[in-house]
Amino acid sequence: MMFTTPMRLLAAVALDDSSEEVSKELLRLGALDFVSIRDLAGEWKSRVEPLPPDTSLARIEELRNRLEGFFKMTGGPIRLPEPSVDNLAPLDLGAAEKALDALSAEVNGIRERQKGAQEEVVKLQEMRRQLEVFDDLRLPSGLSSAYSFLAIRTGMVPSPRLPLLEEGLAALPSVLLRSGKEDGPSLGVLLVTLKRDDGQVEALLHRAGWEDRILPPDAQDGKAEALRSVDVRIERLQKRQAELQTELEAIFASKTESLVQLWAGLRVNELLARVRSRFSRTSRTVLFSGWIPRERQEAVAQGIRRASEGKCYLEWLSPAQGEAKDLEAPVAMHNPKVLAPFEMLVRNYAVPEYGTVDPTPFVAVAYLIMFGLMFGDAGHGLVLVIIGLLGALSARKKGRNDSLFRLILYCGFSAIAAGVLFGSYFGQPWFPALWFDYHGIVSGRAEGPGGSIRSVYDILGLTIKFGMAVMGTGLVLNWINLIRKRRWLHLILDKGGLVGGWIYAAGAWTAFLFVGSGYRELPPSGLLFALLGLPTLALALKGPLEYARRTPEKRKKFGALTLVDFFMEWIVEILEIYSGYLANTLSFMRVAGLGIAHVSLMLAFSQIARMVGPDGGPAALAILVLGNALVIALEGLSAGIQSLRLNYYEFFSKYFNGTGRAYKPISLSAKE
Amino acid sequence: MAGALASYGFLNAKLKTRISALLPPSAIEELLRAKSLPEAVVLLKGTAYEAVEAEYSRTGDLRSGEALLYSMEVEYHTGLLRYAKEPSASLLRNLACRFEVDTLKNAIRLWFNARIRGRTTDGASVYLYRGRILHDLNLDALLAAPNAAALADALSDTPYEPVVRREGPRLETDKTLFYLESALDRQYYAGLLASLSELSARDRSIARRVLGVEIDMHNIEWLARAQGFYRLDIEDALACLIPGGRPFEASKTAEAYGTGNVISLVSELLGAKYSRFAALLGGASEQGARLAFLEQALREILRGESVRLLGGYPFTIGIALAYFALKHEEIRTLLAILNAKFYSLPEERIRNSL
Repeated sequence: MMFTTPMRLLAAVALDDSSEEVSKELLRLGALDFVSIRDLAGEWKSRVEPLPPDTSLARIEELRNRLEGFFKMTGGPIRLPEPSVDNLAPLDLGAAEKALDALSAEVNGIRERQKGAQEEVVKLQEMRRQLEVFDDLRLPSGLSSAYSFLAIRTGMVPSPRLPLLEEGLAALPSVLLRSGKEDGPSLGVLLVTLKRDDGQVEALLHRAGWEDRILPPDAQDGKAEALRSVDVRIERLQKRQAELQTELEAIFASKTESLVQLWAGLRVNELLARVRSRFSRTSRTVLFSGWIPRERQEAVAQGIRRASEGKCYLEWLSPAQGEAKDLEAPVAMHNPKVLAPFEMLVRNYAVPEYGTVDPTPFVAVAYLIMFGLMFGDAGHGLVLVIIGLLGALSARKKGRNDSLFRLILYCGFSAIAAGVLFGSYFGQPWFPALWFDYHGIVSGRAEGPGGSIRSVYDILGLTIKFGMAVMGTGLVLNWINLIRKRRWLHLILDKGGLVGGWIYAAGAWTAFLFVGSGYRELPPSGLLFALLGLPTLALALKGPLEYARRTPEKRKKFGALTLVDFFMEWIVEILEIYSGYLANTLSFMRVAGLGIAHVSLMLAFSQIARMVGPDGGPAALAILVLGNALVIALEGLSAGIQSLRLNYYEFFSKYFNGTGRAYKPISLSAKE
Repeated sequence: MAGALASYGFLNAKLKTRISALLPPSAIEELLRAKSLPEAVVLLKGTAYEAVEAEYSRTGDLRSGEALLYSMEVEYHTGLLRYAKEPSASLLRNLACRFEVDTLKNAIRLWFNARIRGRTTDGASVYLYRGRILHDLNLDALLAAPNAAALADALSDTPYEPVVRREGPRLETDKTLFYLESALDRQYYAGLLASLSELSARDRSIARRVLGVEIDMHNIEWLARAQGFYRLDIEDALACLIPGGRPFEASKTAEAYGTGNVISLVSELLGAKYSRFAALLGGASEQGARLAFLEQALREILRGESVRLLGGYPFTIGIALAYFALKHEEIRTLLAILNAKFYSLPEERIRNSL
């Protein structure tokens, strides 16, 4: 956990006959981050041929992607199982493709039917828009021709033939409104159709015995009713479209099991093909190589021996040994699951260099303390805990990564702990502070124990000391990394080495002494020289010593410019230590700044609430609720971002070398 | 310096974030490989175009999805106006006019097809963008207009009325949209170029360069169409050109236009800087293919300009112009792929046309 996981390089030979079983075993183990055998220096390279590319891999991959696309069309998320190599049935790619084509045809059929309904919807919508332009639908028929798309007719139809007309018009975008007495021999009708359907409409009208008539002035103009009628038809069509979508979901639901099974088959065959694509061969053997975490070495060795029935040869190398020296070992971080959100933060920045300190646990501690100091309120923390829990549950239900929500959950716990220490509960002092009364200090009414923290300046000082602790930890971690890498010169004479640490510690002590004396007293000049002057001068040795250590072919010819180079490097190094470290340390004052802003905002909302309702009441309560919500949203986000920033720039810059390559074995659980 | 920072600090940070969220090439590749339209559309789930997928799943209608994409593009533009400060806001407003002009042109095309050509609209008016961009366009009144004069009346209180009143009668007499559409484009670019005068010298120079390329693209396309499809005479064709692009020699252009030589026409209009594109046109055999190739080449030039702007000084109008160009290109690519899937075109053919 303290360092990245130690790796071993495996170079293996097995008989070609057992390659199928070996590849299955390697996939089952899921531990090998493959390296091309031809990348290994030495005798391996010249004796092997790469396996010819497996043409089925691309096809399997394409089918699997296509199937996953279909899964997205289903109503809800589909939980895909982890495929298994046991009882692996032979895969018929042709049949799989046919099954997907058939599914595609079903989907297309449904979309076509939806589209058919939509075409009607669109025509009705267009009709509706045109109807809106009319003032009075009772106008004589001739006038309607002034409008581009609509044909509006008024006339009489014999009552017994009306249902026949209505039935015929049902297939066309149209509105038919009755006018007059229903029990008479004929009925007044207002008919709106599209001009392009005139041919069909005329035939229907002729059959129905239509007679053009101007409707009596006392008849309703029918516009509102016509619009309503159009709306009802649109609504009916849209309902039909929704039913078709449900039908599609039902099709998927009925096939989910077989599709998931097909997916699992495709996936495992795809992974097997990938494993095999990394093999090289001689006439009777297959060879492969890759990185494995040291702790899994024995299990992998046993697995390969079992699969090949002992007919294999395995060679293990550590990263610093033989041919492995020329390869870059991948980086795995072995942290408890509880730290997964913080590992996510580290990976988001970069992958640490192999063999160095794994920053995850340090980031976890630093991040949570920073967040708590900036967002110290037990009530607000409780809200974050609830959000984190609900989010994590929802993410798990949908099969998504819940790391972000777990991070929110942890931040919530940190805020609760800090809130209890500061006596802050939704901005109210409901219980006394266990450490210091943040609200009291900011408002100038401090109560409770307090101890050494009695003013805003004390809070600023506290965060600076915290920052120094974080940076000091960073320096110590850097020294550990340098010792492990055996970079002794850098360990001693680098700005992040022992001399750099010495200057930082001495500078900090001097600064505190100066402040403690009321800005009047500095350490004696002899001591000051020993604390700061000597190490600063010692830094000047770094350039010449580095130059001397280089082999003659790697170093430039010594001359006046070389001296200038040494001098400039020294000056830059000094500037980086004195101004860089000072800026990094003062940067931690933002922790106090955000904390004070959090408290100030809550005080402001409390005051506004008191002004609105001195004795409480709904308005005051609403202000408090809204104020709390605003502070949780804004300050929560700010505190999260600032904590991340301090980790990435102030902490990581002291020791983190993000040049590593992530360990990515081919495994059954690997995500695309 | 402080002015540029205050004007563009927030706006351009926002735009850079949006640019980083543009679809990656792998997403376009997946779309290209999809076997059918529904399989392509579903890939938009989880992207900025998720709403298009939802609309398609609801209606099965690609045109509804297209209309939604168009409204999204309009909102990407107009939504930025609230973050922009004068005088760059004025330029952005004038840029947004392009959508208004396009919407107006689409509506007039529908009117023209129904009224002058006597064709049916099949509900196409429903897909017109109805949101307010800068002016109130009463599209329903416009579509219901019985004649060109009424068409202009329907646009009263908008800056488009005088143009439609002046050029509208030619819709009926010449039975062509060319002159009206060309006049609307010229009006749009005139407004746009006028809004540059208030910008700082640096912004003005950037905007002139980008708009210059856009105007060149527009002019070449117009000339090629005027020559190839409308068979206009040279005076009419040159009168339709938009000022503000690269200066060209009228006599040589007229000569190239007269001989129907697209390669020399393009060489004359684009000049030596992009002459390689003109040379490449020789590879296409017929006029339609040449036009498509030309369009592709010009888009490439604009994309190159956009990428160049993104790499330069960050506090200029260039970032907004680059964003608009890249976003427009992304939506165009998306539409091209989805339409090609609708017609079941083979993957390779779609790839070649992008």
